Amino acid sequence: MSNRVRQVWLSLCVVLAAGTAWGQGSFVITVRDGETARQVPNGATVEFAGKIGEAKSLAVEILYAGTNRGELGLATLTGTADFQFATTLPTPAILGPGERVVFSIRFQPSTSRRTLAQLGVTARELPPEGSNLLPGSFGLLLLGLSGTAPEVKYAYALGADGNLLPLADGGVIRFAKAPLGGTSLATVLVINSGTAPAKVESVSLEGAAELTLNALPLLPLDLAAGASVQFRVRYEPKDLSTHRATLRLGAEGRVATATVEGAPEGPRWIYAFMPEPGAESGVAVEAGGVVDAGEVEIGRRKRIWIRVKNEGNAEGVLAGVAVSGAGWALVDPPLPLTVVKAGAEAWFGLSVTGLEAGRQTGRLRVGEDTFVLSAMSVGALLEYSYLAGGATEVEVGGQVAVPPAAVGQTTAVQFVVVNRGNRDGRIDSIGVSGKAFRLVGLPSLPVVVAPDERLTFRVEFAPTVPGLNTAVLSVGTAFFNLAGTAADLPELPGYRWEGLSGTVAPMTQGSVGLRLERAYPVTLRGTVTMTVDSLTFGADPAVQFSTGGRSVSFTIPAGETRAVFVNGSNTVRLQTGTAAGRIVLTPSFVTEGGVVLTPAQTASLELTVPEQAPVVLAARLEASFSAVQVVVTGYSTTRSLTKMEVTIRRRTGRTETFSFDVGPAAQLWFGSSASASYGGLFSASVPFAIVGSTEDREKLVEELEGVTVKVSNERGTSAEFSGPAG
Amino acid sequence: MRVPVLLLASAAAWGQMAGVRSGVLFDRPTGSVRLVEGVAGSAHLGAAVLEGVEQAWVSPSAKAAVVRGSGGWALVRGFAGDDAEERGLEMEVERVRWSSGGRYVAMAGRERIEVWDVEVLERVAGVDAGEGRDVVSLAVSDGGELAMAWFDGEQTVVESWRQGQWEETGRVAGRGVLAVAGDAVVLAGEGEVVLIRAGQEAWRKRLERRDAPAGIEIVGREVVAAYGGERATLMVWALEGGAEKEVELDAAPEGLERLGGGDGLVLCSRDREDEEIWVAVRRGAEWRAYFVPAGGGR
Repeated sequence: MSNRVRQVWLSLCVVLAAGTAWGQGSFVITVRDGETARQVPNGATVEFAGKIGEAKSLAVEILYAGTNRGELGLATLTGTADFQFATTLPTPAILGPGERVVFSIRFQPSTSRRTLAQLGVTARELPPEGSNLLPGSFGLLLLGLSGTAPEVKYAYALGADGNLLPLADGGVIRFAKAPLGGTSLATVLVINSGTAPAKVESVSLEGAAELTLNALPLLPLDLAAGASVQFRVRYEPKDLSTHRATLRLGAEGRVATATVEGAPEGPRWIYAFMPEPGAESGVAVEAGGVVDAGEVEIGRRKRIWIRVKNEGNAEGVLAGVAVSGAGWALVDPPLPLTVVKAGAEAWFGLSVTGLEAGRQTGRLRVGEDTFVLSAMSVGALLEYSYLAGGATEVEVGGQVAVPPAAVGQTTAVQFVVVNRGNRDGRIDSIGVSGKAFRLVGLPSLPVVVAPDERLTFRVEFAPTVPGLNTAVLSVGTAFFNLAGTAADLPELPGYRWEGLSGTVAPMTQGSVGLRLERAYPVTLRGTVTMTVDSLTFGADPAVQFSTGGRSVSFTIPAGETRAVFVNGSNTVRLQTGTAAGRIVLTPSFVTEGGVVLTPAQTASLELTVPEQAPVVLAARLEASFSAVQVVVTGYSTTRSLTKMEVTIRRRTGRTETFSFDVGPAAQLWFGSSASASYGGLFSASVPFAIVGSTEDREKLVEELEGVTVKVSNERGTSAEFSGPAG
Repeated sequence: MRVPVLLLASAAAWGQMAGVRSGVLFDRPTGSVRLVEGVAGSAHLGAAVLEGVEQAWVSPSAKAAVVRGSGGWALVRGFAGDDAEERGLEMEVERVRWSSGGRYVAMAGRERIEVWDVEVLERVAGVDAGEGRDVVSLAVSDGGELAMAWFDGEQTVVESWRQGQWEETGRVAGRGVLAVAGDAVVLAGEGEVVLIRAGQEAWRKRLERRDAPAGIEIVGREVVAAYGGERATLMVWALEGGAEKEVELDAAPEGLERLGGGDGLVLCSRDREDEEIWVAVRRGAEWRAYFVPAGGGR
């Protein structure tokens, strides 16, 4: 408090104390401030509120409320200059009962601080008129005037540091490095630093939507002197651009303007899907957009690559990558919480496998961003089924159950291929393994199955073996397991041999055949095996079938009885050879499916080449001047000889007969390994010496006509064989 | 008058008993020329005397063969002995015919025919068959005289190579076959057979059957022709003429070639296992056909 104010105040107290003690009830002081009027006691102080710089009028009315007369003398106004008499003073004046005077005072605050002034008016009550009483001395009417004014100020504090900063008209509230996607706050205070209440009328914020008002009180409001009110400005940047708004604060009839400015900081994710890793260019896609992988063939997998680039002004964190949707999968995704620096990139792949024709969608999440995944599955989608009574769908690799059939009978299913795709399906091959199954009605291959079209063919089951028969059906690249059961095969019927039997002549080529007693339902295959039991310690290698060797294969077609041998005939020839012995033919039977049907007790055919007298096949007489040689060719089934009788015939009719014991020589020959290739065959040379003169020899040679030979063994003597002289 | 006396040789001479071989023939499945062990009716193919050949025509004497091996075509004399000799042939041989004695061999390639003398391993003739001629058969006599039959589309024409030129000696209907022996040329066509001796037609036979034989040969004093088809037969005529003899065959002949080193004629050889080999031999007064098994017989 200044010295001047203190002195005025002390004097007022003295005057008031004196005034109070004198004639107080005769004068009534009324103060008018605008529409408000109030009586105040003498010596009171009345407070007036104004606005700094703005003048307002006050009125102080003094009413004489006595019954005589009142006299007002000198009026003074002391104290602050903010209070001034506005008009000419109405005093001095004598007031009768009920009369009054009005002092007009102009109050124009020059500060928001409290100011003081004092209106002093001397006054006394006059004695009744005509009473000759002497008026008393003047007293003092005092009225204290206290001037007040509001003063509104603004300040703000950013949430980042909480420092309170003044906010002047035209000032700036700046959010620096506000986290992108986050919330930043600034608290704005409206402070009444004056001595009179202030009225806060309005607060508004206009500009970027990222900047909003928060916790704003109900306006308008009166703000007591020394009080403050606050609200907040919220900043929620969604992108990295600078955001601005204008804050308007209305108080006490004045509007202060401030600029609110936001500068965010953070990553900015830019997405693109690329044809291959590291590609320079691709197709940009916004968050929430569609990643279109284009066409993918059904059953095939296609990859695309996603490039995530941080084009923000600070590093960012990829929280994770996830994908959903049938057929979609991530390829080499980044680890969770991968940090991507500003300007850097992260890559990962997406794969989509074509499942079925049509649009194939999914979802991709990268951090907080999501995308719609889309691909068009194209291609043939072949579905398979078979008809066996009803229709049965079958998956690739599944089983096709064919109705049971007896061996020799046939059942079938209709196999159906339908193309449910949206492209032509090409089938290059259709095949079946396993002899029990065959395909009928196949189209020409390769075959094209158009969308929604079908292909059918029959799978026939004609089992050749009893029990479960399986096979694999292949339709293009698809395969199916065929299964059918067959009842047991009937027993092999009896059979009999035809043609040669019993004892057979040596050196003959006869035929044998094989016939079932009744037809068999399936084709039989078999082999006739020949065994040769020699009686002479030397089986004849010439004993063979005409087709070579000692076994011959045959087939008995289903439903027939006669064996068809490998030579295409119902019989097969065999050579009996030239050595005595037993030729045994034994058949074996097996179905085409490999079921052995050979009975435990087979009916073999036994042929016997008997021991008999030798046979001379050829004999010739070879003569020269020095020697004569008889060459005899024949065979002996006993593989032995005992005697040879040679008769030389001359043209003169003379004959000379020579008999030889050839037993030792024959035993030597037939006992040799060299004879093993010839059975009972032999070729014997009988040399003769010629004696006599040259003339005699020439004559002899000319006379030689031929030779007649007989050969004997233990079984008898051969017929005579005559041969010429050569 | 003194009479020479035949004296018996010593008993040790009986060691000369031996086996009987009927000749050799080419066996395609084994790629070899194999012995025919035994006699027809009880014969079988035995060991190989020449192996590693794709084709072989063995001479009737079995002393030589025209073969195709890995080195190409060659004329081989002596199969495995130290005196074996071989002479490469420059032509692709399509048809071979040996003389009955086996000294000469005629070989036909594309439009060219050569005659070789085996004794000296020299080519004695090389002639063009004639442009566009469809040579169906050829033959060479034991004197080295070449004859050729070619088909003009309707008839088979027989021509002999004499003094540097072809000289027609006869014709038969249809596509025919040819054989020569000495001065005899026999030509069989469709439904007829003609014998030409010394350039003159000795006889011509008209047959009931209208086909041509698969092969024909002159064996001794007989003409032997092998017919196939549904009624396979062997037809035999005496060179002097007269009625034919007919022998039914169990297998249709593919041709008629002399069995190398033997008296028989090969009717069928085998191209693969399980096929039958058939030969025809004169047994006494009759011709008969026998199969010759080619298995091991063990």
